[in-house]
Amino acid sequence: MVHYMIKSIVLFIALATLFVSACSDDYFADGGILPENAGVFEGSTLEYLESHPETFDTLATLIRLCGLENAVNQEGNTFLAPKDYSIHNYFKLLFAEMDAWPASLSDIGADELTEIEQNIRNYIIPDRKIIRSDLKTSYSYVPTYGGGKARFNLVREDYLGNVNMGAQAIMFSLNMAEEGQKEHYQSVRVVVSDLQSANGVIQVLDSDTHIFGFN
Amino acid sequence: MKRRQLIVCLAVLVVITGSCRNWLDELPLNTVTEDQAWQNGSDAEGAVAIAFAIFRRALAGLTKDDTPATTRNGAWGDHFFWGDARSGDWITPNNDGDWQASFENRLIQRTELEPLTNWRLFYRTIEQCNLALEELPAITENFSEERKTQLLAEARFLRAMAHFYAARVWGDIPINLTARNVEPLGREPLDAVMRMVVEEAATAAEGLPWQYEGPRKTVMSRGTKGAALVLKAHAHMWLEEYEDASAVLQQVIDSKVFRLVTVDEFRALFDTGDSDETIFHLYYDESKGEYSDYYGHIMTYYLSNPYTPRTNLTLAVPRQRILQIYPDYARDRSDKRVAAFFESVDFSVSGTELRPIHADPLQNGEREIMFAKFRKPKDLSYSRMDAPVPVFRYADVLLLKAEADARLNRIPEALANLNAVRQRAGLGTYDRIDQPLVIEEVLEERRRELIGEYYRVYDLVRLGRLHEFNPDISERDERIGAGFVPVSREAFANNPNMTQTEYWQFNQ
Repeated sequence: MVHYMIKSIVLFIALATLFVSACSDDYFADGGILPENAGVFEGSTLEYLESHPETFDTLATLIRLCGLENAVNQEGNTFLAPKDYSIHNYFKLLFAEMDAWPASLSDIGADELTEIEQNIRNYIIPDRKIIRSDLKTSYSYVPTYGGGKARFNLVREDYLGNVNMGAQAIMFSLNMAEEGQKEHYQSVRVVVSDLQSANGVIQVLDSDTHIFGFN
Repeated sequence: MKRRQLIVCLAVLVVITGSCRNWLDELPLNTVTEDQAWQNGSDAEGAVAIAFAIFRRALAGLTKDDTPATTRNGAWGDHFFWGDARSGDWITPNNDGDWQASFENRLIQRTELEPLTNWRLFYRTIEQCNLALEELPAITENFSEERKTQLLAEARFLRAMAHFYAARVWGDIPINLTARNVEPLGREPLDAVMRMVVEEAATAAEGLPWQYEGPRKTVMSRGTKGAALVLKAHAHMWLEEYEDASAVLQQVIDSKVFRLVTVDEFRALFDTGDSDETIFHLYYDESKGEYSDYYGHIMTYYLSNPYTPRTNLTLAVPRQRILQIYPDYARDRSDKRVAAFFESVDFSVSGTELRPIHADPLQNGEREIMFAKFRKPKDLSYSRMDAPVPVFRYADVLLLKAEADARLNRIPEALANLNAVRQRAGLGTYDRIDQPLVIEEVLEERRRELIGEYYRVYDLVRLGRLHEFNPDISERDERIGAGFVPVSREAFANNPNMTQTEYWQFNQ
C-alpha cells in the first residue's frame, strides 16, 4: 500500500512539474499601450506609399506624373491616401470602353492628367496634422491644397450593445458643390489612421466604396 | 451472493414487463394520417394555404435547416439571385464574394450558392397541389361546391405557377402532374412546360374569382383570375405567341380590377403590397410574426442605416448605371422613379444614430447609393421587414402587352400602354413609330419600372439577350443554357433520367 502511495505521489509531482513548467503567461499579457513611435515611418510620405506597392503603386506613380512630390512631402501636412482599387474604379468611369484605357499610366492624356492632378491636390491638407484624437463627432473644416473645403469628424460604433463604446473612425468629406452653389459633402471612411511619415500624417481611405476624386 | 443478484434482476424484470400495457401501440389522437387529413372543408383550406406557404419559402430559398450542403443562416432571397443578380446592373459595394460570384454567373463553385440551384421546394409546392387536386373532390363535409371549385382552381393555378417560375430559372424542368409520383422524371423542354402552363392557367382562370373578400394585401397573395391570366400571358410570351398574350392581357385590363397607382402611393405598393396595382405577390405580415431578421429577407442586403443597423451596403446599383438606365433623369431629373427607388444616406454620421437622407437621391458616390424601392420603418432593427415578394403587378401587365403589340406591329396600342407607365413616372409621351425602336423602348421601360423586382433576367433570357448586358456570359454560352441556373446535385440522386444543362456540364 505504501508502495502505491509513493508511486502515485511521484507521478503527481512529475505531472505537476510538467504542467507548471509548460506554463508561460506571455499569452495573457497584452503589449500595453503602443509605443509613441509605433506608427512612424522613417521616410517621406511618398516613400511610404512606394514602400507599399501592393496598395499604392498606382497612386505613387500618378503623384510623380503630376509633379506633386513636393506638395505630398511638404513638412507638417496630412495626406489622405486613396488605394489603387479606388483609382481603378475611377479609371473604369473615366474610360468607359475597355479599348479606351491607356496602355500605361504615362500614356494618360493631358486633359485627364489635369483632372487627376486636381483630384490629388484635394487629398492633401497643407500645414496641418489631422490626428484622430484631435477630432470630435461634430464637424471641423479645413481647406485642401487644391482649394477645396474638407470636413472631418469622428464616427462611433456600438460594442456589444454598449452605445458608442465601439470603434471610432475618421470621416473625411469633401465639398463637391460648384462655386456659389449650396455646399454638399461626399464622405469616405478612414480605414488606417494616424500613420506618421518623416514629414506628416497619412490616413488611408476605404476603397470598397470610395472612388478616386469622389467621382 | 450471485443468487441474490439473480433474484433481484428477475424481480425487476417481472415488475417492468408486468407494468407494460399496450396503449403505446395505439396512435395518439393528434397524429394526422393520410386518410384523416382530408376530412372537411377546413382541411381543404389548410392544404391549399400550405401550398402557397411552401411556394413563398421556395422563392426565399433553402436554408441550412433544409440542406446540409450550405451553412446559410436563414434564406437569402434567392428570387433576387435568379431574377436580378445577373442582369449586369448590380454591384456589391462591400465586395461580398457570394454576390459577386452570382453577378458573374459562377453559380457552381461556391457552396453557399448551392441552395439556389436546388428546386426541391418548387416540387414540394407542386406535390402539395397535386395532393389537393386529387383529394379535394371527395370532400363534402362543411365544404360548399362553390368553394371547392375555387380551391381546386387555386391549386391548379399554383401548380402551373411553380412550374412556370422554375422553368424561367432552370429552363427545361420535369413536369409533375400526379400526386405521390415515384417515377424518376426527366426534364421536359421549356416549350412543353410553357404549353402546359398555358393550358393549366386557362383552366384555373375559369374557376377563379377576380377578387376575394378582404384587404388587397392578403387576397392578392392567392390565386385569382387576374393572376392566372397574367401567368398564361407570360407563358404565351415565352412561346412567342404574341397574339394570344395580347388578347389575354386585354382581358385583365378590361376587368378594371387593377390600376396604376400614383408615385405617391408607391410606399403602400412596395412596402406592404396593399395596393390596387398588386396582382400576385407573396406577402409577409409582421403582425403575425412573419418577418425576417438579419438573414432571410432580401432587404437586408439593399438597406442600411437608417432602416437597419447595418452601416454599409451589400447590394446596390452604381450611380453611373442609374443615370444610364434613367436617361430622362440624367437630362432633366424628370423621372420621378429615381427619387422613389434610390436614396443617398449621409454616411458621415455615426452608425449608432439614424443617418439623415440627402435631398438628392444620387448625391453619394458611384458605390454608395441605396436601393430603397422596398423599405421599412426607420428604426435600426431587422424586424418589420415584411415587404412582399412581388410576382405580377399591373405595370408589368401594361408593358408586357405593349411588347406583344409592338411585336405584332400594332404600334398605337403599344404606345398607349407604354405611355401610361411613362406618364405616371412624369415622363413625356414616346411617339416614335419604328417597330424595332418601340420594342427596344418597351424593354428599357420594363427595366426602369421593374428594377429590382425579379423580372430583368427573365426578360433577357426569354429574348436570348442576357449576353448583351452581362459581360461574363457570351452569346455562344447563352445559346447552350448559360442564362439558366444549373441543376443541383440533389436532383440527380436516384434519378437516371436527370440531365444537366449543356453549358453547366462544361463549366463546373
